[in-house]
Amino acid sequence: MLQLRMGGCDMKPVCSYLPLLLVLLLPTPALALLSNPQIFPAQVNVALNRTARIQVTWRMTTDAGPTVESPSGVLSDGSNVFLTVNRYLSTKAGRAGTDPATGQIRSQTVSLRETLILPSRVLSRAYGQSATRLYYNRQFSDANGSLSLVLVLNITGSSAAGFNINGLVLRFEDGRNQQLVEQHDQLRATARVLFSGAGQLQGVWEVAGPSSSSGFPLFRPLGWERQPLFGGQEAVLHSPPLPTTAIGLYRLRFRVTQPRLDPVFPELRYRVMGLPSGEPTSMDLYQPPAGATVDRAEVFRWQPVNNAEAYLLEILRPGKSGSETVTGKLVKGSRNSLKLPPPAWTRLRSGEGYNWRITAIDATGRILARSEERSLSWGGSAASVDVLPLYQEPHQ
Amino acid sequence: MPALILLMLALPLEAAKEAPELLLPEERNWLEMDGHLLIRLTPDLIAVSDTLYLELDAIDVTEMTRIEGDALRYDPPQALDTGRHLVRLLRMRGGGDLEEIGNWSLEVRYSEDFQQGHFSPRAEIEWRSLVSERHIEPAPEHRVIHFTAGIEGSLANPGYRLKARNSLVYDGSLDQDRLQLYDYRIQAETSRISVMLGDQGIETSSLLVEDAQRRGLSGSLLGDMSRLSVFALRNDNATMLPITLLPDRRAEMITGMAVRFSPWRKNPDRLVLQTVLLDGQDSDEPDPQLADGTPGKGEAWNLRLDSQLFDQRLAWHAEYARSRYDADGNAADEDTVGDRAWQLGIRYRPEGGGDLDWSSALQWQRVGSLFHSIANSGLPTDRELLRGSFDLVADPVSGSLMLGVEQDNVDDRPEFPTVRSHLLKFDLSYSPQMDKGLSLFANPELQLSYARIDNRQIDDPPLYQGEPIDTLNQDRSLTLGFSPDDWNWSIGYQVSEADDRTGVYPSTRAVSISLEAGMPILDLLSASMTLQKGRDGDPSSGEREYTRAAQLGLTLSTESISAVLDFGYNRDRIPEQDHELRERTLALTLDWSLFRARTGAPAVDFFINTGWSDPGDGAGTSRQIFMGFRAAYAPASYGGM
Repeated sequence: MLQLRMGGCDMKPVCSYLPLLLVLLLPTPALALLSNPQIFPAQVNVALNRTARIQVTWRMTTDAGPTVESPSGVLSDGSNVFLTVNRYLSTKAGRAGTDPATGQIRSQTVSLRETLILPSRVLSRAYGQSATRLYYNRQFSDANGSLSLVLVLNITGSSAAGFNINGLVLRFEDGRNQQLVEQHDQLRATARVLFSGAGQLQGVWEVAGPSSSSGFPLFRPLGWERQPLFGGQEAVLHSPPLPTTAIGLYRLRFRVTQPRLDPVFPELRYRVMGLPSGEPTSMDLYQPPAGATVDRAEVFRWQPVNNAEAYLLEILRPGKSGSETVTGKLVKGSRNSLKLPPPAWTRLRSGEGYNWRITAIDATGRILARSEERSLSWGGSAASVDVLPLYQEPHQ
Repeated sequence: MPALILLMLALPLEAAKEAPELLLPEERNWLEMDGHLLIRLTPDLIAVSDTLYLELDAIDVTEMTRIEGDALRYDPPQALDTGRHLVRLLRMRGGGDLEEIGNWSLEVRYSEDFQQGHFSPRAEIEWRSLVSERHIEPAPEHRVIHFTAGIEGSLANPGYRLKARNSLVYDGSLDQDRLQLYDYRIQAETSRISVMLGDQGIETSSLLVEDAQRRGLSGSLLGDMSRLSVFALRNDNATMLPITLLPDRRAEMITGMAVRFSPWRKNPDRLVLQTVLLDGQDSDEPDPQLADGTPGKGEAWNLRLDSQLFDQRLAWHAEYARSRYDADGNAADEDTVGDRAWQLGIRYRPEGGGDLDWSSALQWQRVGSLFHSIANSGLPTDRELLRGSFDLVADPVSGSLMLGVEQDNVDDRPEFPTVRSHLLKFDLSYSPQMDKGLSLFANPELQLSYARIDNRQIDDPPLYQGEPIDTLNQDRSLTLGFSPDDWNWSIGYQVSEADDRTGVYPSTRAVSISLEAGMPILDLLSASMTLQKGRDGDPSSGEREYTRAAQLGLTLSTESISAVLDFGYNRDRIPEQDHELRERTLALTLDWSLFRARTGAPAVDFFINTGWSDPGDGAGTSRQIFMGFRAAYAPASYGGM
């Protein structure tokens, strides 16, 4: 006679539930048909008011082949049907059947994986009808007969529910779900993962760049995530920096590999335009070194930038809400060094700390490059200026 | 005597006549943004013009000036910002002392009608042709046009401001939604009224409203101490994991009103009272799994207090929210459920400065099991939690500690077990400044993390039919990174353990090792590489799974040629199932720039995009090659803000 065995039965307590967990509808066994049924997991806790995604592995042995299939599944509490899942499951079992050479019957064990999605409203409706235990029934068949397997679901509170990805929301870091950026812009995305229970999430950020995004998207890995999810039921994952080197359309997704979900994952789209970037590139400062004490004779030097029409040296006072320009000097693009002019001396206080930076400007007024800020201390003597009348109105 | 008086009057007049003057265009008391400065000099100043200094907003611009007739002229290399500018003319006297000869306050405007303005259009067109393809289903279209046009602009006067930012994208390769508005926002505001159409967020983030961009219409009335906003917004869910088998689950719709009030006009952060009222419905796309495809409907409101005291060092907030939600949108069947949520939080962060910076926070939250706000449907429900956190930065060390206790089954339902969870999370980072140049181990950074959650069932409900719950999850990770010169590389090790102490399910252990590196080569080429190897266990079946993954990127960039090569590899093996999958992808993008992209000049480039993929499932290698050209134009921005 057919031996019943389910996933988890090696772990003794589940076996006591077997009569409830499994219903077998066997045709007359002229041959041994579908046998050795196993379900992983045998039973699952799902949280009320949350959409459940349950990864189920149905496993059985067929003696007939050539395929094992199941057209649909039904969720019920034993009397009321709450959901019919019209998802066709099928796997090949070509090695099963009668061996033409020996006449012996060969069997093959097959596994069919399914991600069962139970919308929160279905669970709410079931709970509203006083059902806290649900049965998900699937009928499998091969060439000679069929077998019905049942997964048991308990509606529980959120922590008691098994590890479950209830939702995954992709957005860019500014909250948008599509972006138009310029080349070399900084861009990152976030994945907001809603879950119940506790477990490890594994996934890979994948991007299809302009090389394939307009045809069949060929996703390549961008970065891997392994994150324990527990407590709070919500986690936000940050993507690696997204590529913006090549011009064109990009498609980004976060493919969850553990727990296994449907192969369809949401995508974010962003487009890199072939226009000049609004962000200036960086440039190096040569002299004086960081933290140097400088005086009137100090020569400021920097890395020359191609096509620079002018360079702007700014002396800045660092502050909590950013740096404030105290003084500076604008010079022609043919130079890469300068000394502070006398009017600047009048604005600096001896012994005080400042930052300085250089900005390169092209003939159209666009900022070509900008250095980082570097600290200095003003050691020059204080200068004064004889002031003539205060502000005059411009002459028209 | 009269002669003396006349002489006294004449002297200042003569002096004034001899003073330098800032000249503006005729009949204007302002300067346009791309205008130049012209200062008429007296003859004696012209004679000593090499001793003059001109400052604009405290920046010495003397080197960029020239004498033109009897005037000193300065053409700014960049358009001037709108607003007030200060001009100062100085002279170095023989003894080395500076003398200020004149100073002026100057207004720069966008135009006669608008004090401020900015207008920045851009456009790009791309044409591509499929040269070759193999095993691509469905086959890509042979010829595709992309078109993108965008405009960003604003106009403002002291009383009002108009702003717009819009980008229209046409993509001929997409089956649907070929024409899309990417950026979309039009805004008009005065000091009392604000109206916004397009992408926006609701200004208050709370139990009720998730902080995300939505699209729609909103308007606000601003008082001295209060603000009233009304809104009608849609949330595009296309980038969410589909709730059913349908890949595109479309927009949720919310309408509502938000009121914000602060009794202190000068320091409104001291106490802010907010309330939000919402009404909305779920996606209007039918759910094919469900017999009744009607969207769920709901309403919610909250009351929230926020306060910042002692120079914003101490902040606290309290919130109460209620919701009513009907999952099938059918009011007649009387299955609408309602629930409540509370939140209290306090944070203390002392004055920064010095090498030590720390903050501490405490939060309590309780959300009913049937709480459901349409604008924050992902909020964790059925949970009461208390969490404390402590963050510390003391160079070169930074760390954070989080402790928490959580409990579910907040409604004490007899058919649910109650699970209490104890959480601990600890992160430590150590990055001493040790610049050792090209040493492989220069500038080290060490990151250590530990996380633990202990879930225990604390009751024995009579109607619960499931297994008892007693689990322990732990995660440990260590990452060591180095940055020799322009390189960087790191190695990481992570162990995650899940113990089911009831013995019902197998305990599992997952281990992974990763190696990442990035390096520039000869200023033209940059390379990046990531390798990862892992071993996991399936908690439901105990099956082991082995994964290996690699990613390699090469980027070549010269003045006119750029090439990007990316390779990806994934291997997934489950011995118990005799399952093995090896995926490989290779993508190459070549771009030849005929005219480089520059502001104010059109850019034209030709490109070849190729991609190969082997899904590793025996279906064979797929390939696609495209060629095309692209033209882009972004005129110089008009105006500035």
